Amino acid sequence: MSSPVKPHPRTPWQEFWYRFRKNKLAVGGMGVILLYVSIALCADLFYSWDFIVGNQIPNAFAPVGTKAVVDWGGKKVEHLYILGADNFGRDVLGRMIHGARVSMIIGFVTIAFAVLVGGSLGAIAGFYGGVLETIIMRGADILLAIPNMLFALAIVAAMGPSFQNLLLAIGITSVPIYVRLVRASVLTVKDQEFVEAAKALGARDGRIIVRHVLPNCMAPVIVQATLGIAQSILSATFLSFLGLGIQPPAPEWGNMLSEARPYIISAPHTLIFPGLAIMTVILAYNLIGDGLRDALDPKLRR
Amino acid sequence: MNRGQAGCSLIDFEQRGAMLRYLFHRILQLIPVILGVTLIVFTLTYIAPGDPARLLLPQDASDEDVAQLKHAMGLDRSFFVQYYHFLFGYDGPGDSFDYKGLFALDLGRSYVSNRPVFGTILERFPNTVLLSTVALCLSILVSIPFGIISATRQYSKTDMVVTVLALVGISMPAFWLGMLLIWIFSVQLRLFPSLAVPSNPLSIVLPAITLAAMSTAVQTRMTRSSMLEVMRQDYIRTARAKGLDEKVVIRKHALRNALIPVVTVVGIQVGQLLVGAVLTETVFSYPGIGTIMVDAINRKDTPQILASVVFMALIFAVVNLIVDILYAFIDPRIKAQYIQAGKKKKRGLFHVISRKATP
Amino acid sequence: MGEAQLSIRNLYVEYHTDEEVVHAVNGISLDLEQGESLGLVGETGAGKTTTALSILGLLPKPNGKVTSGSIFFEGKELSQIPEEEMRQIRGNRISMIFQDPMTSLNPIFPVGEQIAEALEIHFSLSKEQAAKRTAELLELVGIPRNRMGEYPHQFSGGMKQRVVIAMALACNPKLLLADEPTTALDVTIQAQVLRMIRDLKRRMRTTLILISHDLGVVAQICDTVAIMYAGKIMEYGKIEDVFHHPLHPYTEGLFASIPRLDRTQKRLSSIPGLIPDPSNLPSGCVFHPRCPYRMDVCNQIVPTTVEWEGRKVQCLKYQELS
Repeated sequence: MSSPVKPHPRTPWQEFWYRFRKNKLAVGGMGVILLYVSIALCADLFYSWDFIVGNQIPNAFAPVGTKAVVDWGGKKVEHLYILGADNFGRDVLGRMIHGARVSMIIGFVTIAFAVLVGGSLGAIAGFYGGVLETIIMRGADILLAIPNMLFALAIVAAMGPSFQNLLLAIGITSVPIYVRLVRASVLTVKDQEFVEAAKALGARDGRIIVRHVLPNCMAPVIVQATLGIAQSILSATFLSFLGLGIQPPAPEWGNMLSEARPYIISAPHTLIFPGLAIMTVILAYNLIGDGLRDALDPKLRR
Repeated sequence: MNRGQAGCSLIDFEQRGAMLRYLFHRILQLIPVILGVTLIVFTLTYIAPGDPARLLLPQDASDEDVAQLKHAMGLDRSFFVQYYHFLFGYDGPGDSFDYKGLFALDLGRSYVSNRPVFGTILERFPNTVLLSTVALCLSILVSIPFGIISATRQYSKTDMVVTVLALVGISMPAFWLGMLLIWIFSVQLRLFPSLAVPSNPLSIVLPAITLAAMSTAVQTRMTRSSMLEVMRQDYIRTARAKGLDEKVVIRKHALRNALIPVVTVVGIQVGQLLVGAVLTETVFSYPGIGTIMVDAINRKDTPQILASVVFMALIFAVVNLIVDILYAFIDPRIKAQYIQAGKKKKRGLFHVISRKATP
Repeated sequence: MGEAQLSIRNLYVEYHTDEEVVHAVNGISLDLEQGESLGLVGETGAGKTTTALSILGLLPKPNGKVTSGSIFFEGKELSQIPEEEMRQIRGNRISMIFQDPMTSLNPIFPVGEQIAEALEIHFSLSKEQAAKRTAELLELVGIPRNRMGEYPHQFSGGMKQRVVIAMALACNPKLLLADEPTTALDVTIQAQVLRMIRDLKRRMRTTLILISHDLGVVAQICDTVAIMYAGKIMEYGKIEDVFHHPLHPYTEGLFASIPRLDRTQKRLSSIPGLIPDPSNLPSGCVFHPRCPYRMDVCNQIVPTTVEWEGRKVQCLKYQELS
């Protein structure tokens, strides 16, 4: 029983926004991410970098909510450790806030890189076909044959741990999925009338790709990119946890957990809060991803 | 109706041929993948900063000594020659740096322990297999029933709880979960040991749960959505219209269809479990290839890193291949063809496999 | 008039979604005697399939719901009997041929097994007995018995439809609901399938409700016809009466849109406008926005059913006749 067509006087964008907004979980996820991004942007307003990387040994493992005296620029200052202190007496909340900045940057930069590189390669492969396509797609297949995290781990292990190498490793390993996605979309769009028409009108290839083909494959890419950011952040914390990512004393959620590991018994707060931060961010991105998928893909509507 | 017997056997023959070609094609596809993976891993170590020869020698070694050692190790040869050595073996001026190559599972000796790298890997691999298998079984046993319950009672309280837990599960980093479990079950409740060894079944419990969590969550979500999708199909309505009990409709008609895509996901999870094992093993200091890899990375033990990464990537590729082939057998549209083919000519590899795939 | 075998009284069905309430069936009443065959005709979305599904109690859950009215089958009200007993009726005393043969068969079981299933549960037959009966059923619908073990994907669309029919006939149902049984088929196969349904109906004295949007198909098989529009029965009567003297403007419109060979027509007329949005039905007579005989009162007064000489019609044109 097919329900009759009901005219919706909305643009596709309004339609999408209407659907997305109705998904409360996805909107909640969006809220969490906006909160994290704004905290990350203003990290220095809350805690200065020098303070959160500097040792305050006497306050090591201060429990949640401790008021203690810290040595700040040669002066003794009273400081409230809202979420306690770690093994070097550094403020856990402060490190988490600065860690958020690192994670947000990693998420956006790696996925922007992967979407740009993978998307271009996929568009080229799909649009031109031939040997070029074979080479690109075989390459993507091979990269996909190595588990993402293992591949990223191998790259950082070989190149040495640094922020740049971390970005590179996660960025490269995220590329192939976008190659496949964009190529598949290009192939379905390529032979449709409006592209033929544009060709017939003498539009250049680049213009056709940018104006006609790409907008039509945005939906799957946006969904994948949202989930991809979650994956990137997770990969970064994983590598940092193994000592291959961000190096202490610079704070990152993964290396905070790595540092907390020997002190599970004495200072569980150093373990719990950074982990919660990772979990909520990943959860939020997953919720947004699910919401976007439902809102963008009419076929999956329930 | 017009199709006679001759027509049928012709089709069987064609289908069987098609399957053979499919198998052959899939195995053939593995070759460039293996070469590609090895090339990538080898390239990574080739361009890696730091000179292994200098690392092996004392700090005050002269450049001459380093050059000599590099020659002995074959590291002064061109990229392609070294890659060839990597695959098919190296026979240097001395005997100490010789190895038989990747295809003979020999990539030389560890810089640290001086034991053959693959010896260590093969020795510890069963431990990783044990942990991953326990985790896989656990995840299947939990995820599929919960996915089904959640789907058949969509929007109920049970469904809500399962959905939320699955969402949390896919968002939780394994290493954090592992440490939380240690904190709760080893430190607070003293139920399980925090260090895991393969010989003590009790000590495997926490790592197995840690490792299984992500897969369980992914598979639960997949089972649920696949089941919901199948329950909307016309043939489910047909089954109900026959007067079947709802339980039979779910168990017989819906479940088997719903599980077809779940099998693929489980297959992918097998690979993910191996990678997840790296983290889980690190958290629980469990002696598997994950800990070998992490130790090797920390000690800059290049041959050991190389061997463990390549080994895991190859296992991953082979597991995926097996899953792909199994998948073709589980889908009855293809399986039916084997059974028919099997009836025609009794003894054949496919006959045997298709019989096994039939419950 | 004897006691009706199936009797639908003032049935209302709604589908509830997040955004809207779809009024699929809006107060229909029908009576069928044993052995009678009724054609249910109307455009897509008129509520024909919904009516059939509510008889079987298989409205899609949780969206579809009978909001009022009742359905009596052999004197029992179907909504009042327990689910267990309803299962005894489904596939046994009432069965249904579904619209789309491509998706109505389970892809992972051999067709024979799918037919035998109903026999095993309703007649408690053993596997062997059920297989024997299944083979007979397949031959009845013109499929060689040796294809019993084959899977749906090995059959063509027409053959699948035959399987679906065999499945519906397995337990010699007293009432058969055939939902567009020929729409998915080629014209030549359509004729074969229709002939088959007609023969089976005669042989087994099965009551038939044939759902179709094709008046020609209905004319070949049915004794009576009900014209549905927007979930209401606009006109009901013996097939000859309705075909030769349509009363309702909508019925007239439907006939005018069929090409005829016995008359010269310059062009086919179509009914202007679209079928109304069932979540937002017009006031008064649901057909008034498209009606060529529209009167001023049509958008205010809901016409009641006017009945005489075994015919029924819902139109204000005939209101004074009662």
